Amino acid sequence: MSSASDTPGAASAPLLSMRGINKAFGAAQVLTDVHFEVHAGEVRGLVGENGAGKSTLIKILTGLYQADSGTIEFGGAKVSITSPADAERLGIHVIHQDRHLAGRLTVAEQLYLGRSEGRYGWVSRRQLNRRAAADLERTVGLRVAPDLLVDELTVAEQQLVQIARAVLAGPKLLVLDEPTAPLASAEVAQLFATIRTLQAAGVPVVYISHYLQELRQISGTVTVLRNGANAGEVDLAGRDDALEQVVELMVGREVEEFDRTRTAARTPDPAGEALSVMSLTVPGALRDVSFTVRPGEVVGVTGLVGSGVDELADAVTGNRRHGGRVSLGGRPVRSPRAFVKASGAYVPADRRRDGALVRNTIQENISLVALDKVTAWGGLIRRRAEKALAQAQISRLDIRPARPQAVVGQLSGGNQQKTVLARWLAAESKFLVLDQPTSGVDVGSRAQIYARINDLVDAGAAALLVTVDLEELVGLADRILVFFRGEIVAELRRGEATTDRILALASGAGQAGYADASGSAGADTELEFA
Amino acid sequence: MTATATRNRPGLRPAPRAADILPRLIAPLVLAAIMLAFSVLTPTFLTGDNLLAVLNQTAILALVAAGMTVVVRSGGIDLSVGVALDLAALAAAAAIAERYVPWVAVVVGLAFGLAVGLVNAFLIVVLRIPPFLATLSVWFIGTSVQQLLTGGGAPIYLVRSQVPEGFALWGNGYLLGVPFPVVAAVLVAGVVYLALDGTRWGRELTVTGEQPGASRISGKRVGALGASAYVLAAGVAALAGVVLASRTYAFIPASGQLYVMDAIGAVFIGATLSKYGRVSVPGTMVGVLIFALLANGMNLAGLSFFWQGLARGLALLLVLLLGVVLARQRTSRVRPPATATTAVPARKG
Repeated sequence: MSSASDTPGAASAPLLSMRGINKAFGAAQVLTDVHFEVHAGEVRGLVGENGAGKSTLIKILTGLYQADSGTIEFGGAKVSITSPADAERLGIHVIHQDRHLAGRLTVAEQLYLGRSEGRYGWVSRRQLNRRAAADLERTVGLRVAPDLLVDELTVAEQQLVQIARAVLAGPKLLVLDEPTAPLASAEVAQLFATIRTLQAAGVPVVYISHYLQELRQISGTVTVLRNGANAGEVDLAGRDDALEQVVELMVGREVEEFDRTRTAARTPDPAGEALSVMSLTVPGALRDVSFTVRPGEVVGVTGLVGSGVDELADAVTGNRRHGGRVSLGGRPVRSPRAFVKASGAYVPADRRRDGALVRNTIQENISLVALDKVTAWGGLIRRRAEKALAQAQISRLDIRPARPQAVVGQLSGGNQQKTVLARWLAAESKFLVLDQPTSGVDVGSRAQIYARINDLVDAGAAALLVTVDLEELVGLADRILVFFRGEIVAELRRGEATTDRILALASGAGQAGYADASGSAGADTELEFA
Repeated sequence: MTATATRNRPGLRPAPRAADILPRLIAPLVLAAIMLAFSVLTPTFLTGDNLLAVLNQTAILALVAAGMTVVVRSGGIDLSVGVALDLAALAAAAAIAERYVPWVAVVVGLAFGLAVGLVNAFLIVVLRIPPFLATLSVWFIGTSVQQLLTGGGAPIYLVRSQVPEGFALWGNGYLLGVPFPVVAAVLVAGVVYLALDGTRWGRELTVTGEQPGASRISGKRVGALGASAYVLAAGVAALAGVVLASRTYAFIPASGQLYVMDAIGAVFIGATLSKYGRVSVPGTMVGVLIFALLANGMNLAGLSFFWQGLARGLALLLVLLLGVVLARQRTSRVRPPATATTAVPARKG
């Protein structure tokens, strides 16, 4: 068994070996002769831009898709995996990027769903809940009431529950697809601790992520896919410029710098007021929060799970009932409709549910808010005008495919998100609320999204950016508000904000008495940020 | 398919494969097969007179189903359209029996039907009762109301010679040789189709039905859109009720209920025409015609009325099963959100 960061010796037989995998959807060849091996006790990174084939490869491994050709060997024997149940029987557990939690179950039920130990009727509900609470705390450091409905959890908490469920099942191989996208830093640290525990027990982990810095912390070797084929493998421990090498393999060309878009400091109009939030209170989430956002600035907001930031965007945009006053350009916001009427734009965190219209075309997605502009007498939609409206945004944001009739559910995450943003650009919204705008979005699309946000704000728009991606926060925000337990604990200006400092504040450092009560929340876990 | 096939080139539409399209063609193929079978079996089936007669008999179902299509598109279901139909027929027949002028009878009939839609809208949109349960309750209540109003469910029979022509025309008149009910059904289906797939209202209704959260965030009047669907469905059913009362010169309690399940069946047969299971007026009309021709053909072939339910059920199962089985073979890359047929999902908070 290899130790933490070692590359497994070539001599040992791999636990998993996928060879010659081909897969096409219609005329589109998605995977071409892909091979992928995982050895016992390693954390294997799997990276590539959106659409490179990572998720398809993993869905073949779990039986959600069938490969057109190719073989899978697991534990030395050739296996045929035709359903997720087959995969779980083999001990292969996957946390998919698009989460599939059954919303009407309680946390405890979800945790033991479909497992013989958790048969109801034999176990008392109270015992079950008690055990669930202990298991959650132990495996992923999550503290939530086990009798809450899964629906009532935030996206991050749902993610942690799912990871706990997989870990509790005693996996032989754990696959995490973009696991940290919804997580804040301390939760990431806890997740890494969980992964290292598994690794020490010889259980290999396949780790798919757009966050290359994370891979450096957790992974030994990284397999890079590009355009559905193997682009190469990189030993991250091997060279100092290993990450640059990975990026190069991903995009297939040399990249000058791997950095977030960073513009010069802006000078917002000190008298102007785009968004004003007064004494905002959401029971159980936010307490008496007040702040303003001025035209021409990006205000960033961050916090850990339970800090209230997950509820903030919904409350500010009128999508969640709250106490206190929110106004936009002087007009009170009491409903999503009032928010939109006041020229507000909201890019929500749950893209596939509340953002992109997955069964509609790009054209229909983009015109949704600006339907006024393309509606003729009698309410008839003028298709040609609608198409022109869409095409302007498609080229502005470089949405691919650049075909207004393409169905959005079939686009990559990055292009879906660009389409959602395009909807508000087409409506010429003046105030943006962005909740995790680049979660699960590839490097290229991310840069384009940042660039458009900067354009808008430079032109006098205002933006509220809610994100757990601290580099994004530091790169984009002019001011940063750090939330802790439902309150703003710090306001940092551009220049004073570093990821370390934000993380410390978000974890409650400097809060009197918190250090003693922090338990396993990970405030003291060391974390490295580039 | 070979691995050397095209790369995923941006901007190029991948050629549709037979396996992608076939599941969506099942319902039209079943319709064609039914027509073919009966035209071989019974010589009178494929005559103009017979087909026009079939359409005339189908008009009421077509109207009800067009309204149902709107409700299902909005993410709901309406089990009470039969009540809207019945109350409209009851009110219109009673008004004629009381010797009111025809246009009053028609307006009163439509108003009674629309009232059912408004009650549904109130229960579902304001009180947030799931559509299935809300309309089920309204159906129970409406059935009882009919019996109370008619003194225990006694039919109202109108004396033909005393029914003014202005009312009799609705169910028995002809326009350019086409029975009026058929004209009404075609007009209504056309308008509903245009409204659903060509107007802003239809676009917003569809988005609200499929992804209510996205619709709300985009500033749409989610409640008003949902309410409009129930009112429209009830209004169309009320029109069907007026036509039925006129055609039969009578009101027979609970006759509307016959159409509800047929309409739901037709709507979901029609949903198989869409890649994403989205219901549409053209699809619904294919379903309506399958049911209608099945019934007519069996009549002509001398089969008992009692076989018709069996035939309808089997046709529905056949279309749905073939559609699902064939669709399963091609792996869907789009994971649409669960089709909301029973609940108007409400955002928490």
